[in-house]
Amino acid sequence: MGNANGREEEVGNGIEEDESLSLTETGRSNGGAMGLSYNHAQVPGRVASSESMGNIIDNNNNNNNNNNTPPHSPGRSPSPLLFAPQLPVAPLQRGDGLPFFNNIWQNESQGVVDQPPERAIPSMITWNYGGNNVAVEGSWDNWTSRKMLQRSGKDHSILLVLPIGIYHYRFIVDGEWRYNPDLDFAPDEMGHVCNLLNVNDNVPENLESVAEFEAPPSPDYSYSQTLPTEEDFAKEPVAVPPQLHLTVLGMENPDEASSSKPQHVVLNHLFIEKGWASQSVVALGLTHRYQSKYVTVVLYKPLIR
Amino acid sequence: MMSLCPRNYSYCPSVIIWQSDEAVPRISVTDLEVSRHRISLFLSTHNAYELLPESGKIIALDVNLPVKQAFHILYEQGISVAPLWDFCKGQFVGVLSALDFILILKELGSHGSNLTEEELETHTIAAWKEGGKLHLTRTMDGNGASFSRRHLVHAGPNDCLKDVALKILQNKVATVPIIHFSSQDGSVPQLLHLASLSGILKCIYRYFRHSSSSLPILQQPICSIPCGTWVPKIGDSKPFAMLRPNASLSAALALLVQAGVSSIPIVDDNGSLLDIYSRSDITALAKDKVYAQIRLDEMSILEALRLGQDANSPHGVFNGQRCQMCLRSDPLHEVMKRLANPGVRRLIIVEAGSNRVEGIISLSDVFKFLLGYPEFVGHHFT
Repeated sequence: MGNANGREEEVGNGIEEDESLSLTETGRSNGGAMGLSYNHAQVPGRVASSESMGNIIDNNNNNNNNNNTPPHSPGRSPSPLLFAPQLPVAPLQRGDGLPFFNNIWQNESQGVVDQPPERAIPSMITWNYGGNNVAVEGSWDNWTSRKMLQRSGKDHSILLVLPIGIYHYRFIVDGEWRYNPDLDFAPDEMGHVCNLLNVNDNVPENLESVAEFEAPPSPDYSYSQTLPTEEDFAKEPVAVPPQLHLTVLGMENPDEASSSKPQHVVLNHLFIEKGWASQSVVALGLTHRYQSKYVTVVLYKPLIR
Repeated sequence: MMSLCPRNYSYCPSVIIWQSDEAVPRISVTDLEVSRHRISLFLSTHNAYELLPESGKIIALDVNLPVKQAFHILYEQGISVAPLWDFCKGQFVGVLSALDFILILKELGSHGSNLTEEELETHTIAAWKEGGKLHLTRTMDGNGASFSRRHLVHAGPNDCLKDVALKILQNKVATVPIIHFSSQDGSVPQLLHLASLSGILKCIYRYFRHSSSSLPILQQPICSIPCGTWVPKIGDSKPFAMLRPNASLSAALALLVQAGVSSIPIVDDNGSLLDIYSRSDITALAKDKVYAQIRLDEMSILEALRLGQDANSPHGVFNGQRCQMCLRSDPLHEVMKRLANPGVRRLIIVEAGSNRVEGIISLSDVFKFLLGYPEFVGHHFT
């Protein structure tokens, strides 16, 4: 891990090598330094810009294939479906006063007021054609910074967490511009060929591929309960299970309602508005699922007496 | 006093021939074709399912609700359009929108109305849609056809975005319900979403914003492209509707209906922008049942707007501003980014500094331009 140490001193972090393996809160401020450029010596001029990207690549802290594994072992590949993307935050100021704050990122978020934070999706970029130092540059930050890929044998890879959209990117393999012919590519406006990354938030439901997802068998009971009789109707109705109170229907704030996923337990239950007996119009609500999305329909109906 | 041009108000599609002698950048035809092709490709390969939010909420109304109560519900829920459900047929049969209320209020206000006040209490949406508008449609010019629709314009979740956008443009509606029929014979409808051009634009914007070089036309300032409606001294000599703040509400509603526009800028004596009156502002009249107490020609639009601008207005005010403005030098991608915000359907183009109104650019203007509609598109959707 000699080159890691040497690099840190350049940067002035003053973090011991051992500390870097167990990043928690401090990880955010130099997550960029640790996760991205850990195994390679960096050209000094490049340091600032790659660290400014650190606030976007926070998730590498959760990534299993850095820090703890020595460079030669393949490492565990992270499943993009299993970890929750963190919202990027401004990293802490470093002691030497260099601003971490990426201006491009700031302008983006200023333009979007009153909206929930943009969801960022993790995507993997790989390079399987060997090389010692492989980095990638892309249009996600307008080609200003370079990110080193993690190496495992002849393969290099990096996990990027980006908002939805199409991005152009290129590889720099041992100093040379290259593109990966296995992935989508297209010429850019200057005529160079770049790879295309299409970040999409439609995670297709492919439950068969998830081995742990077998549905449990039905319980061993019979469905022989008799229908309710008159005396049953005379009794008080059973109390509503508390989970059913978790409906999105009562939420006043539309932003809040639309960003919170309904619990499975309230799906396909018909809700009626409170205090309906005295009104002439009643509201009925139903939440149902369509593929991966949830829709709550509220229907106003006249009450005929 | 109204500053209206005393001519007819029929509007043509947005191809404008520039006669300005200012040095505006010319747009290259290849840029335009490449951009249009890429957008068309994107819209054809993505479908309406992408418009759905992860957890969405839609308000629907029973078609047998009294119109008056429907009006109140729209106001209280802060929405301006709701699909209509018919229990007997088990289908969604139409949509109730702000335009319906404008027509009802005009009907009430006009002499010889066949609706008394008590009848309004019980007049159902169904009855209104069936009969009440027929005599009005005959007096419309050109836009009458869009009011007498008998069936619901809708789309399915697997329809491509291009078809949805074209349906919206061709039927001159603002929203198209996305409905999924879950049984084989199409008898059980599942309402999924109310699609609008704003949602589609948001998809386009999110997809292309990081590769702006692939849509070169987006860098052009809006004054250089034939998009939007401009005041006569800048664009060609078509009438551009504007109103003074003391104009009566009945004049504003008449203008909205006849001109077939969804909003009218309110300007002062110098032509500087003060505010905007939109069709959806009509629902503010439900507050405290104002619509029953006023005569439309006695209330000014300024007063009408004040009704809607209370602190508790749920629909309201986006970004703290009712009317979103932009400059003629703003590039198209900037305009698109702002139109992609929900609730913003139009931007008013103003002169820097004086805020004098120079034009309006709306969602449908942008889509007509990007899709090359109607010249290059041959489909007809009913």
